[in-house]
Amino acid sequence: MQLIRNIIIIALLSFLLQLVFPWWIICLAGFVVGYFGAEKPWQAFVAGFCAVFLVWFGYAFYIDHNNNHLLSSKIIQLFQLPNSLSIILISAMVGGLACGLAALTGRLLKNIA
Amino acid sequence: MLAKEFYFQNKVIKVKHISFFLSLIVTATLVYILNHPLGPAPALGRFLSPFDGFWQNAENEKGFKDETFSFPDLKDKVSVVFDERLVPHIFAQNNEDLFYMQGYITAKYRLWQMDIQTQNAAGRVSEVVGDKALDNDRLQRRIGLQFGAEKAEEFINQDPESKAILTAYCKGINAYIKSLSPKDYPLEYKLLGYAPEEWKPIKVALLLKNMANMLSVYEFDIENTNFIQKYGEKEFQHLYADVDDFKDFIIPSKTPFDFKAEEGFARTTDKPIRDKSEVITAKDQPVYESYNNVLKKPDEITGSNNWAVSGSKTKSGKPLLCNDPHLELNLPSIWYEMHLVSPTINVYGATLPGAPCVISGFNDSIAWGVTNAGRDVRDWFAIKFKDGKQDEYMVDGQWEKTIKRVEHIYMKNGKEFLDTVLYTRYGPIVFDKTFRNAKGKQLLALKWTAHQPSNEFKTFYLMNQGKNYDDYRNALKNYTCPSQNFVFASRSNDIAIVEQGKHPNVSSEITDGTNSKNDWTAYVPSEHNPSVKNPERGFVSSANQFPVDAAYPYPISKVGVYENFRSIRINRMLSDTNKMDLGYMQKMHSDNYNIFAEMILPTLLKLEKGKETAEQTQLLEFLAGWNFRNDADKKEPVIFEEWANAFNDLLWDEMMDPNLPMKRPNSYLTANFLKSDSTSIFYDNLQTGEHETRDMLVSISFQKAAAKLKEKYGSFDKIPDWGTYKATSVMHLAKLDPLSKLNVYCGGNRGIINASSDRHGPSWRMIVDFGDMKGYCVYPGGESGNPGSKFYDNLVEKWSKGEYFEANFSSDIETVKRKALFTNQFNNK
Repeated sequence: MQLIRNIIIIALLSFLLQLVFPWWIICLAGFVVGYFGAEKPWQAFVAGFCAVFLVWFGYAFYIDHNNNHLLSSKIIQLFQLPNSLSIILISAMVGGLACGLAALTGRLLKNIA
Repeated sequence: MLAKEFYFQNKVIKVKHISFFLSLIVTATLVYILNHPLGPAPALGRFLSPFDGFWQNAENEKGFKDETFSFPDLKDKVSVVFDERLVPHIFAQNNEDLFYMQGYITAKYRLWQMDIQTQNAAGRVSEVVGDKALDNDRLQRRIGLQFGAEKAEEFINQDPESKAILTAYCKGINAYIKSLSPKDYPLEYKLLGYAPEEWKPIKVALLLKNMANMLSVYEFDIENTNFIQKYGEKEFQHLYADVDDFKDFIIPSKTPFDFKAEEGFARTTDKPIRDKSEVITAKDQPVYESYNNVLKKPDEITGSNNWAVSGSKTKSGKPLLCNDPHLELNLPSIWYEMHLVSPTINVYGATLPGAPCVISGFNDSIAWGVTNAGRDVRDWFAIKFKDGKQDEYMVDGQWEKTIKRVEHIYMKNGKEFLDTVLYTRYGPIVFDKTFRNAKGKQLLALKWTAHQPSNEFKTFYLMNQGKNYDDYRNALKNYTCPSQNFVFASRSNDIAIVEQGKHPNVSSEITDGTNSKNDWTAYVPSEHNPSVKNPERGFVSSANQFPVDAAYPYPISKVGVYENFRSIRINRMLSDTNKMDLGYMQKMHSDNYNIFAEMILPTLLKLEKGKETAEQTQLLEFLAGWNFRNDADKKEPVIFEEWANAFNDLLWDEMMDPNLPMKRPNSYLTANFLKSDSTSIFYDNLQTGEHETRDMLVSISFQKAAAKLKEKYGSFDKIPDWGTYKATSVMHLAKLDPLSKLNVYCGGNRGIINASSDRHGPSWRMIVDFGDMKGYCVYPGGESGNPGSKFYDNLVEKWSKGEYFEANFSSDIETVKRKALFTNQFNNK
């Protein structure tokens, strides 16, 4: 339950912060929640990864749908990817990985604080 | 269980410390990498984030709605109505607001394109892409585009009205740039990892100089000098300047001229400069290697068509006017379609993103359009330096000082490259030992009208508001470079054409710079430029052909790229009927008839007496049945193109020596040459030991073309049709295929009215019908410069089919609003 709660908090926090700050602000959201909220380090990583993965996947999917895949179909050719879904997944994974690692770092800091 | 701590040099080290620091380092490294570009790839974290990366450029296809903005910069309210094609219709209460908003809206849809085009003109592409652009940047600076733009800006500022309009336009652009946060940047900034900069007025001047560099480069002084040194004066005249039976000049033959040439123009036809010169080596002492640096120029002119038909030849009794400028086909398109309305202006047409006003268009009284005149407006002066320091050079026996202009070129990584360019009284030394390794006894200075102060944009400002013929002529007076043929028609039933530009008494060979008498001493007065109003034949036209017959009092060098094919076809079609209408104009724009083939193919077929295989004979018979039309679904144009190219390459192989640049005669000269000269030394191919004759060359070229086709396609049956073979491409400015429109299926070619070749073509098609006062346009692109918009390339298909959109042209906002997609309202508080 705590994991799900953390995912929701990071997702909400990172969403709001990204409306104002550059993309790397997601790391701050992960770090803070990882520090205060996570039970175990692996749970911190999973929470951070899943939260931003979901937010980025959802938002990119929404934009791509409204755009009728027009731009994503051009970008995948630049990056030599097979389809629009792949660039959405890669985007989400990049964001998820950055936030997951930040959350892990936050949790590990708590160990020594 | 793992140990929770261990000892190192008598200190306790805890695993939990190590884990934290490892995790911190991995996270920090990842974020750093994702926030910085990796080689050519953009910073991935930033680029892929749906909140600020490329996803933000993916427009919601249904997200268009009315909006209201507050703009304290404005004097009054401005409304901008966007129609179904996203064409903006700007309604302002005064001209300053109008041009402010033209700047703002243009930037909103075309910012990156405007920016990169001026960066290119200024020689600043290295700042964006790094040192791979250094050579290009150095060249742009060394030919003096920035130098010319600085003079133009100063000159424009002397005219208060021009200055006010220009300032308003730039303010509008900057208002848009300032409103952007990184997530709003156009896609290309995100891909290349940089940010837009403030739009200074000099950029407008740079854009005009960029046009000059595209269109006023048709001078072959170095190539001609090389040719004459190698083959002599007689061959030169024979190949390039011999009069043929061409009659379709821009100004109809036998038009009387009631003036004499100004003093100083005899020089152009006078040849002794070379022979008397000590700095240009005369014919008997050739030093070819001196002149191996030339500026790259297109083989055939970057051309265009325009014509106007008087009411006496139309169904409606009112004039028709057409224009289609042929330029490189790019995305975003070079043109941005706009409608500008103020109490004194109601103008519609093609604008050049980055410069105010409409360039090719119409208002409710007049219409105008442009084609390239291709006149020679550059000279190269041989400079004699005092010594290796190059501080002083000789003019009239005196030593004059050079001016050193240091160009600061910045690289993407912030490093600076300093380039010292020497300026003489004539202009800059483009090539020297530091650039392209120019050797030889003397260096050459470039003199060019594009270096001179000018205010071309005033021409368009006045033309946009013009009411009649006098206004049109008055507007043209301000126009200097690049020389253009301005066609004109008015509601009051006048038609006219003027070849406008500033035309000095140029030389067609390298000029001796040690004698000041060789400098440009005279310019053709504006009113003496070739022009004609309401000619008897009832139409005026231009298509980059030679402008006037021998009766014109001023000498015009024939050695250039004048392309006569299209003018022959246009004049034929305009003479054919007295019942012209919109449909006929549309038919003409899409006409695929190939005059080059009509002129040369019967001769080729007649002379071709080689030993063909049965299969090849069939191919020749197939070709003989061709109607000379380069339609997309025909195969004959493919065979003809291959044969003509092979013949051309074999015939003019003498001019392919990279160490001795010479100008290949163009297709028109070649077609005439083949017919009229059967024994020239140029038929011999230098690569073979044999002595080739004309007939042999025709056969060899056919064999070569047939072999190439067979190798490429397996058998002759599999030769693709012309549209597939030609594969017209509209390329993104950064040459990125996924952002381009490749393989657009259409007919035409260079030398044909429908001039769509592989990379060039009608970049804007416009028809104005004064019968019902309507305009029709189309261009191969779209109103939005954003590859993530459905308006990015949505007009290409209709363009390829030769179809048009009716311009929604009314000074009444309510009428325009009836077809609105959405409206932007700008309040001044």
